[in-house]
Amino acid sequence: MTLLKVEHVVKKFGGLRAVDGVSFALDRGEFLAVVGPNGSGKTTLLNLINGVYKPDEGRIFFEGVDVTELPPYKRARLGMSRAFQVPRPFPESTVLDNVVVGALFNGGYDLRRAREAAEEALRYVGLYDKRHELAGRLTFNELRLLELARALAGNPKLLLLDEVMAGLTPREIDALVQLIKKLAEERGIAAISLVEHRMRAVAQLAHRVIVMHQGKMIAEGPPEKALNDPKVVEVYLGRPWR
Amino acid sequence: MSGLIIGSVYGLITLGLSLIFGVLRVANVAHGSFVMIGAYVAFFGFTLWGAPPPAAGIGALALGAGLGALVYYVVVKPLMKAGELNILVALFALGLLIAEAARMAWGPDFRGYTWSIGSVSLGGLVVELSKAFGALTALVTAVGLEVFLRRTYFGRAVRAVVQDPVGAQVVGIDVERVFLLSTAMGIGITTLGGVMLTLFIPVGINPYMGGIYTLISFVIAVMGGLGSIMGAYVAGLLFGVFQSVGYYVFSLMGFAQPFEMALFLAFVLLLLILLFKPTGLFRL
Amino acid sequence: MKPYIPLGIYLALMAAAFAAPEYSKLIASVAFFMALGQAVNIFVGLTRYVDFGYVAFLAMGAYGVGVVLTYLPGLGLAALPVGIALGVAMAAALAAVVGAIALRLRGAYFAIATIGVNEGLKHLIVGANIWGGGAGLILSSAMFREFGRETALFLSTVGSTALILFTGALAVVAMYLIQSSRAGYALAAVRQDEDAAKVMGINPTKYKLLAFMTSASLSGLLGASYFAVSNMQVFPENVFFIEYILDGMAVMFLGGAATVTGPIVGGLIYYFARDLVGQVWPGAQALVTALLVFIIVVLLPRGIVGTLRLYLPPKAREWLP
Repeated sequence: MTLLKVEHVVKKFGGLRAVDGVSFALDRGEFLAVVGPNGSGKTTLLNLINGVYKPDEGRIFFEGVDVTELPPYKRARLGMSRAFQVPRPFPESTVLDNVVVGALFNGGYDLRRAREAAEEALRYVGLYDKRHELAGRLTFNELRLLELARALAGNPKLLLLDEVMAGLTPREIDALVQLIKKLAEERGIAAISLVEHRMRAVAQLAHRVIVMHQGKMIAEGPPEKALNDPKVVEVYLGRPWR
Repeated sequence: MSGLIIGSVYGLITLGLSLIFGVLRVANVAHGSFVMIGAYVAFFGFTLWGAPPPAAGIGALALGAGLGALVYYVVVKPLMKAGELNILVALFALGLLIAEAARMAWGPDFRGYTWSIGSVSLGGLVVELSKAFGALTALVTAVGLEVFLRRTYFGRAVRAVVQDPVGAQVVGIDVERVFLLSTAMGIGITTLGGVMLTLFIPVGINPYMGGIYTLISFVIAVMGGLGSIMGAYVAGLLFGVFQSVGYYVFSLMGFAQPFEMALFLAFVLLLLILLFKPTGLFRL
Repeated sequence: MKPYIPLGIYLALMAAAFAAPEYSKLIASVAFFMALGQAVNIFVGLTRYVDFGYVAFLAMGAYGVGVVLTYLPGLGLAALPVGIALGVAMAAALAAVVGAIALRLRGAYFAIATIGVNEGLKHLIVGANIWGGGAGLILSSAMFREFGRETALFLSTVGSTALILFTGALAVVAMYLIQSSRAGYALAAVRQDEDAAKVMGINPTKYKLLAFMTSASLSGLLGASYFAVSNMQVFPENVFFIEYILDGMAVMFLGGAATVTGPIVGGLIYYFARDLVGQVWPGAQALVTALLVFIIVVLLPRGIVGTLRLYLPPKAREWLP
């Protein structure tokens, strides 16, 4: 069943068309990677899906419901969860409390269930031992994991991941990739959009890839096909991906 | 009408507030205390040294600019990162601090002076020249500031910072200097406004006068759009007219204190504007 | 969190007031600052928004009692709870109105909007000459008449002290209830990063309003106890005295914003500091207060208890909320 449908969305900032008529659909348990250089409109697209921005044209449907006019917190309640590129933890709260917030409000659990869900999420990402630390004291990698745990704890249907690999070592990326794959396979219901530069990680994860350039979608399909599309090669001034 | 004349000065008083908010995104809740300082500068200038308000105005401008720089270094710069709450509270405390210091230095009594240079008849209405001077100074300052912002290099730097502080830095603008100068200019103009204000309140100078003008200035600034210079000025004119009319109407309605009622209405107006048109009533 | 230490302190002080009535006025004065800091903390500490018109809530509380005593004679002793209830209701109502409008706004805009509340209300009361207008309400004769001389005097000394302390204790309870519920998490999120909180499914206005109205109601209770019952008079110049928000914030910041024990420590230090200043340099209290707030906000933003808590192990932290 189609989980998310984005129809011809356009977002303008002044004269600039950050997102210029993008359309696609996403199924349950499907991984979609949105690839593109800086300024191609990836983050804006994510913000549109999330509700941080409202599109100037076009509509967005989540599980069949038109969510175009809904504010972010309502979309969160419907099952959308977001992990930020630059982790935005609540620095003065403990790790556990940070994740509890996600479970309470994204997932709509009561306080006790929320705490349980939070602990489970922390165990999943491997941060359980640090649950009483103040979030402001974690390392960058740990913050990434915290961000992920927070997005997970509410049992979302759609995880929106914004360049979560940036700044990590290859080992850390591998670990994260394994974790995300595990999520897709074990939890099934969560479909994840990964917005990413690094080709290799993208290829391993995604079922489908969308390539963006200057706000437009220039290629779409399974990784090997989309990433080798001539237009994409041009944009990336790179060699064809093998 | 007389409303326009005092409105002009209200506009002047508000220019600094609007500028500082536009550039630094800081709501200067100590605003009124600088108006008060200007008023005292005028008072002492006149009574102690026989300096007429124009001279006092220049002195106030300089003094205000210096104070503005001081405020920037002591309050704004260290607290920019700590969060809005801290800046607002610190400025609020500063405002009270200044008022109390004034009270201890100069006593709580109401002071005043009169600068009579005659009057002129404008179409049936008698206008005192001193007041006309105040209004004119306000107009000149407002226009001057606007021109400065639009035509000079520095002015354009300021506007760039208003639109996009990070982008401005990337382009090579020394944002810190812009902040500093804007604060200095803003407070300087406010103090100047305080001087001009004294031409309208012959016996109203006292350490606590600032509070009312903070409120009035915020209403005007929001009306004109925070950060817009000409907007603030025109809104000031509107407010002056509104106050005169309101005063008249309230006295007719038999309220014992029509001035107070007009102020209450100003506050209601502020709330309404913030709710429905927080970017101001017009685009200037 | 375990609120027993702060609660215990308030109860101990209440016992002291009953045991040694000659000290009750002193305790009342100290307790006033503690309770004020406590009430302010529930809003400013939890949301990091500042309401410069806050004093209006104290005023509403005072006027509630004043209005009942002045305009509704014949209620006898019942006039007290009725008046207090009215005062609290008026404060809460004011918070609801102002909050519904202003709390949608971001920090600076909210502060601007609230600057006028205090002045606006004061000007309304004086300008329209309602509730005694600029001359205020003197309640002593009404209190003697309705309560009987003995009771009235008791109320204005030990009784009001107990009420003020009760307000403080109530604030502790309120804080405890909020912090251990969803609202506590929501507010922690909103005050640390409102945008992230929104994206996570939190409706900021709802929770800000909750904190705001709770804080306002408590201040209403405090205003009723301190001005009306204790001082037996309600003057606009007194009850709308803008400095009280500064006092409240001083106590709160000194002790530690968003902590429960903070205002107790803060109130204690603050009162005696002001007393000291009053003896050494009379007339300069307000100046020193403003200076003190200024310095604390710039140099020690976490306050005494707040900073202390950072260095405690998690278990100990629970006992010093």
